[in-house]
Amino acid sequence: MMIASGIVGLDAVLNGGFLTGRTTVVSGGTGSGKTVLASQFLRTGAVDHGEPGLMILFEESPATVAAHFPGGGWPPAGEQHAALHFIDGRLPEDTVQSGTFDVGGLIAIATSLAKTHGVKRLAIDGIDALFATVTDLQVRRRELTRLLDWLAVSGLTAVLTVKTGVADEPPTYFDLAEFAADGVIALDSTMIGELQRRTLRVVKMRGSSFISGAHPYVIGEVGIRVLYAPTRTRWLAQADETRLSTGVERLDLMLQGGYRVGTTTLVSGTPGAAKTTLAAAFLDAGVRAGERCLYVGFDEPAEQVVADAHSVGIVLDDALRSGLLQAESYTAAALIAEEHYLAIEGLIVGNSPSRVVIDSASSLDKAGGSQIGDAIRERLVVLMKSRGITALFTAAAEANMLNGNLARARIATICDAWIQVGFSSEYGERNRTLVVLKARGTGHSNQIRELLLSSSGIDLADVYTSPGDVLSGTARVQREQQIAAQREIESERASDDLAWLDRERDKLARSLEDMQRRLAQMADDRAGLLERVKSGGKARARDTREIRSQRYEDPNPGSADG
Amino acid sequence: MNAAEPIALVLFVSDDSPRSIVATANIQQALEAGTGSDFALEIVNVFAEPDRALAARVLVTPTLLAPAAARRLVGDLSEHEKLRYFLHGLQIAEVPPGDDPA
Repeated sequence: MMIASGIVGLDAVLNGGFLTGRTTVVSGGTGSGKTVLASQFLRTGAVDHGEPGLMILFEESPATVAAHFPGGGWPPAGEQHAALHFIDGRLPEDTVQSGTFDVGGLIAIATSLAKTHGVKRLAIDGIDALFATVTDLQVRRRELTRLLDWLAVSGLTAVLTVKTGVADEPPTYFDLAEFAADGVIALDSTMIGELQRRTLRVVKMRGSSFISGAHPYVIGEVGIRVLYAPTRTRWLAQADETRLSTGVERLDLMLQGGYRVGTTTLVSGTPGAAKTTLAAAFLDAGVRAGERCLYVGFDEPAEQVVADAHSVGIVLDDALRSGLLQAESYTAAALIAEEHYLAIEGLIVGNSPSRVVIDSASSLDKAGGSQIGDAIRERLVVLMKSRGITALFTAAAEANMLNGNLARARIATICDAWIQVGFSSEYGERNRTLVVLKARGTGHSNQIRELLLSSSGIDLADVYTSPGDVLSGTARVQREQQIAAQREIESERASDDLAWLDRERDKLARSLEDMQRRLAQMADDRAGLLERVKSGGKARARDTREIRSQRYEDPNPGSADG
Repeated sequence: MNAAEPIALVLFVSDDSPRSIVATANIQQALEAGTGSDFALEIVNVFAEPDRALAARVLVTPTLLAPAAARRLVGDLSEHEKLRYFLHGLQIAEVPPGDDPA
């Protein structure tokens, strides 16, 4: 039995929520959001489930905690809710201690309130502060045990927060609590450059399955939000053959009509190669079709992008004014990629666009590096898939993630299609080029096209690639290298796709085996049941005859088998 | 230094837990030795009267409370000097010469 934690993402990680009627210990350092988590747990109970709650505070005053309650303070304005009771557990400042004490008062008060007010959820926040004056480790452990023993029989679903990482405390101080509690959640924090990255880890949840590992989370106005990505298999079910115009006629032709609806296309290239221009064309086509569009830019004002698009005859100003196109820009390095993700998710949930541009997705590496960036890009792709959004991600070729071989970069694997734009220099000319490197489920040309930008729009032109073409000197060598590089990329792409296909095939084969086994079992069961239905009373008569014959004619019942 | 009204003392205990028994014995012993003002000791079992524990914010037991002076002493009162200083502060007991409260 699970009880909703009220924390976005955590219930999914916990496969439903906290264990009903049991205690979950939440440990973390100062400012890790322990109180916020406990508050969300109580708030959800009181507001969403009509369950009265009790919060016993050992570190902060009830007034402070209530004022900073997630969702704009407690009590919530204009919402129906059950009562929350707050108890200030802090010892008054001039309290003197003589000898050891126990937590009898806490237990007596909580028991009484639970009975008289029907309290279902209990949060005990900062119990370590109460024991700060107790130097005897034995006493601390004894009282923690007393508390946990009582909680175990109280019927209350409880969250007990404890502070970790206090310098003058032995590190094993709360081992006992963590050992004795049914659930333990650890809140961790690491610094990446100048940015703090928070992760949540379920250490244990007795008798329940949960998703292990460190889950990134952020603390915002509504409280803690845990980033939880659904598994990959779910987004394969979304395949759709509908095409959305790329905004470039010749590119539509190359891609059998355009980008597949609900897929994500990567447009990579060097600076100035027209990545953002292709993105603008994609948005323009969407706006013309009356679709809601979202542009998310990093490190360049969205207004600038819209203004720049004028140079290729793309006018998005009206759509921006009417709100059909929403455009937002962020400073990439100012927030950890996970917070950018949540901002983007917020825009998508709030505006339900059918086309989204992330320009550039590689900017997500600026704060936190490519490992977190990759994870977030993957989450973004999953988010787009899960909402049927057709997306275009741009990626700068000079960014860290694209060092070495782009074909190996995670982003190239997770996107459904990949278009590369760049420059070719021949005979003293520098021309823009475009090539479709990958397009899942789409027949496409492997030829490099020349990308032509003019005030009347974007166009593609064929380039000479036939063997009869006369190329000499540097241009020939360059062409040969280009072809070799292209083959290498294609071969790597093919091996990536092959590995992916193999995994999918194995997965399917396993589930097929499983289904066949179940089918065979079902057939067996059915035959048995059918037999029983048919024979009915006849069988009983026969059994009686058999028993009689055994009794009178065969003195050894053991030999009657078979 | 006699006051007209006896000074109220409340000792909150948890049923008959070992610490509660020790605390009760300690306070009674100290009060018998006291030579100061008149006093009235009340012993409250938090499990029998949780509302009084809640009103006085008594989450740990034993807790010795002097409601009029808003002072509290927590623990089983086994550190006798601290108990004597507490009572002295309420003018119930004298402080032994040379004693220094920790």
